[in-house]
Amino acid sequence: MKKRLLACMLAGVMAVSALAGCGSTGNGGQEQSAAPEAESAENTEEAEAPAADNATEDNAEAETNNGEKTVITFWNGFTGSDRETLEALVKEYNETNDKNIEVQMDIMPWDSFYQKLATALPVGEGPDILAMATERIGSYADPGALAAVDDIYSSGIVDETVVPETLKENLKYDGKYYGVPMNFATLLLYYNKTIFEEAGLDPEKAPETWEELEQYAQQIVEKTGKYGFDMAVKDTTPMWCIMLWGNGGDIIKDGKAVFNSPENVETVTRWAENIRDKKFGPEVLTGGEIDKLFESQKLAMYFCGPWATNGFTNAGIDYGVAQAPKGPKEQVTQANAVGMYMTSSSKNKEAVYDFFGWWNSKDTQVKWSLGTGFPPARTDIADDERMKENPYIAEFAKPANESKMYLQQLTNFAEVDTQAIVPAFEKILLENADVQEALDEANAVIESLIQ
Amino acid sequence: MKTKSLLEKKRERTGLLFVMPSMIIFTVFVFVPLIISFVFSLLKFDMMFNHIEFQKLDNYKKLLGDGRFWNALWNTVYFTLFSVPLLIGLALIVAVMIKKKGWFSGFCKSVYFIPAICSMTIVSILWSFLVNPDIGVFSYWLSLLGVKPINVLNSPKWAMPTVILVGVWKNFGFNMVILLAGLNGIDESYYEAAEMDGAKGLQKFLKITVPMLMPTLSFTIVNSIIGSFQVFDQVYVMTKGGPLFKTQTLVQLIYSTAFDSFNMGYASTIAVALFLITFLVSTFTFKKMTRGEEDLG
Repeated sequence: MKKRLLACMLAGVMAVSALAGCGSTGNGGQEQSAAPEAESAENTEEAEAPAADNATEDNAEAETNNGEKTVITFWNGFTGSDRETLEALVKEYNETNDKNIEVQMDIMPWDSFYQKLATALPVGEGPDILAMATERIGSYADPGALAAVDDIYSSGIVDETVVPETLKENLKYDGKYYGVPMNFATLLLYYNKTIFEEAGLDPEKAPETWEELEQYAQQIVEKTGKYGFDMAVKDTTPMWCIMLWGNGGDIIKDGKAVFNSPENVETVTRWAENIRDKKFGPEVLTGGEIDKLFESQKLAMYFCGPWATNGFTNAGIDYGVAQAPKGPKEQVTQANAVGMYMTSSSKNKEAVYDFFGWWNSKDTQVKWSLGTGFPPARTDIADDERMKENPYIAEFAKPANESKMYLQQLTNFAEVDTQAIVPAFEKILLENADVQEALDEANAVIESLIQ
Repeated sequence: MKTKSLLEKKRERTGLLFVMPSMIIFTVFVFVPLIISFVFSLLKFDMMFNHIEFQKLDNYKKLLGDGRFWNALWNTVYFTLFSVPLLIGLALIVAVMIKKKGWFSGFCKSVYFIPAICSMTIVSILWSFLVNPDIGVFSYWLSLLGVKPINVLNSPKWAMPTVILVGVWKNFGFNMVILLAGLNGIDESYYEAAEMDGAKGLQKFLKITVPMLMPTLSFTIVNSIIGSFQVFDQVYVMTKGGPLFKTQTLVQLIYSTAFDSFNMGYASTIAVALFLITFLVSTFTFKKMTRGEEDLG
C-alpha cells in the first residue's frame, strides 16, 4: 500500500529532520495535494477499495455492466432524523446511475467524524467525499486536504446560478470553489402555541420585533412560570449572532475582529439582562439542551433550523415557526449550510462529480427537501408543486437572502468559537462579568487567532 | 566475571519468550508512540503534515507561558486531590463493612462493582441527565423539598465537584474489590491476638488492617493517581472542559489542541509534559509507600 509507505516515510522524515536538527521544511504532504489534478487512471485501484462495513446493496446491475464498478466513499455526520432520507437517496443513486458507480456511505457522529478526519486525511486514508459545515472549509482547504472544484461549475455539472447567494461565497476559499451544496438552512423562531394560550397570547401571532419578543417572553414567564425565550451558547447552531446582526453588529468584519463594538455591547447587555436577570430562560445552554427544553414544553420560544420540525411534530407539540423578530437595525437571521467536498487524495474525480451533480439536480433536491424539511439548496424550486406537501419549507426558504452565515472563511473556526466567543458569553451570563470588558477580552483573543 | 551456565542461559531464554508478547505490544503501542510524541513535540506542522518546521524547544517555552496549560494543570491537580482520597477512603470503608461472607455482602459487592465495569461515557451521559436542572430526577426531588435546583454542570463553581463525584461513584468499586481481596488475606489470628490484649475496633483497624493492607493500598493509590491525572472521558462528555475552562483537564486540553486546533505538535508537547508529571508523581508516591511498608515490616 503506497499510502502506508508514505505514512511511514513521513514519520521517518520527521525523525531524521529532528535528529539532524535542521530547520528545513518537509514536503511529504504536497505530493498528495498535487495528485488529484493528475488523476486519469480511473479504474485501476477500485478493486482494492475497502469494503465499507455498511455496504449492503448487492448490485445486480454490476454484472451486466462491462466496465468495473467505481466505488466512492462518503463520510458525513447525518445521524439525526435526516439520516433515513439520505440513506434512501444514496441507495437510489447506487441503483439508478448508469456509470456503474457505487457510493459507500459511512455516517458517524460529527465529533468522531472530525476526529477521524484529523488522522485519516494526512495519510491519504480519507474518503472521496466529505460533508461538513461550510465554516470548516478553511481548516481543511488551507492545508490542502480538499481539492478545488471550480471545474464542476464551469462545466455546468452543478448550476452555479441556482446556488443561494448567501451560500455561494462560502463554498469558496481563497477565491476557489471547494464545495457544492449539500443542504442549506436558515433559523426561524419556533414558538409553542399551547404556552402562548396559557399566557393569554394570540397563538397565531408571533413576535415581530425585539420589543414584542421581550414583552411576550416577560408575559410567559410571569403567567405560566415557564421559560419565555432563550438562546444556546455552546455546541449549537449559533443563535446570539442573530441578535448581534439585528442591531448592526458583527464578529469579524473585513478581516478584523469587531466583537467589542458599541452595538454589540448594547445588544449583549440587553439580552444578557433579559435571560439572566429577567429569567427568560436558563443561562448558557447547549444546542441539545435547548432543543430538549422546547420539546418538553418548558420553553416557549427559541431559534432553530428546519431539522427540528419532524421531531417536534412527532412529539405532538403544537408549535409554529415565524421569521426572526426584527432588530433595531435589521431583519436578519442566521443561515448555515453543509457542503460536499472532494478530498485531495480522491482518485475518482469523475465519479465524485457525477454524484455531486446528481445530488444538486432538481429532482434529488425536491426529495431531500421533502424528506428532511430543509429548504432546497437551489433557488429555482421553491415554487415546485411538490414542495407544498410540507408547509414549513416555504417559511424556511423565505429569509434565504436576508440571512448571514456565521464565522465563515476562517482556518480555525472551531478555535475562534470555543476559545473566544463561548467563554465571553459564559463570563457574562454565569459570572455577571462586565459586558464591555468580556467582549474586549474576547476581541483580543479573536484578533490573535485570525492574524 | 562469572560466565553463565548453560542452564541459566536456557532459563533466561524461556523467560524472554514468556514476556515477549507483552513486550511487543508495549513497544508498538506505548514505547514507540511515546518517542514519536516527543519528536512531534519539537516540531510545528499543519494538519496535512505540510510545512514541517523544527522548533527546538519553542513549544516547551510556549507551554511554560501558556495560561491554558497552567489552568488545566491546576484543574487536574484539583481533581486528583479530591478524587483520590475519596476513591480510596470510600473503597476502604465499604470493603471493611462488607468483608464478612454472606449473601448480603455478596450482593453489595456486585452492586458497588457494577459501575466500575460500565463505560464511562454511558455513566457520564446518565449523570448529566440526572443532574439536569430541567429534566433531571435529582432536581425534581430538590424541587419537592422546595429547593431551587442549579445547573451544576454549568456552574463554574460546581462543575468540577460534580465531575469528581461521578468519577468516584463509578471507580471506587474497582478499588473496593482489590482491597477486599487484600482484607481477606489478613489472617484472623492477628485480630484474635489483639482482642486478647484488649484492642478496640478503631485500634484494630489502624494497627492491624491498615498496615497489613499496605501493599494493596499502595497499588490502589498509585493506580488512582495515574487514572486521575489522565481523566478525560467524563469531562469530555459532561462539560467539554467548560464552563469557562473550569473543568478543562490536561488530557482534555491535549484533545482540543490536537483535534479542534489541529496543532499536533503543541498537543504532543503537552502530552510529554503530562507524561513527565505523572511519572514523577507516581514514582514519588510509590517510593513513599513502599518505604512505609519496609518501616512497618
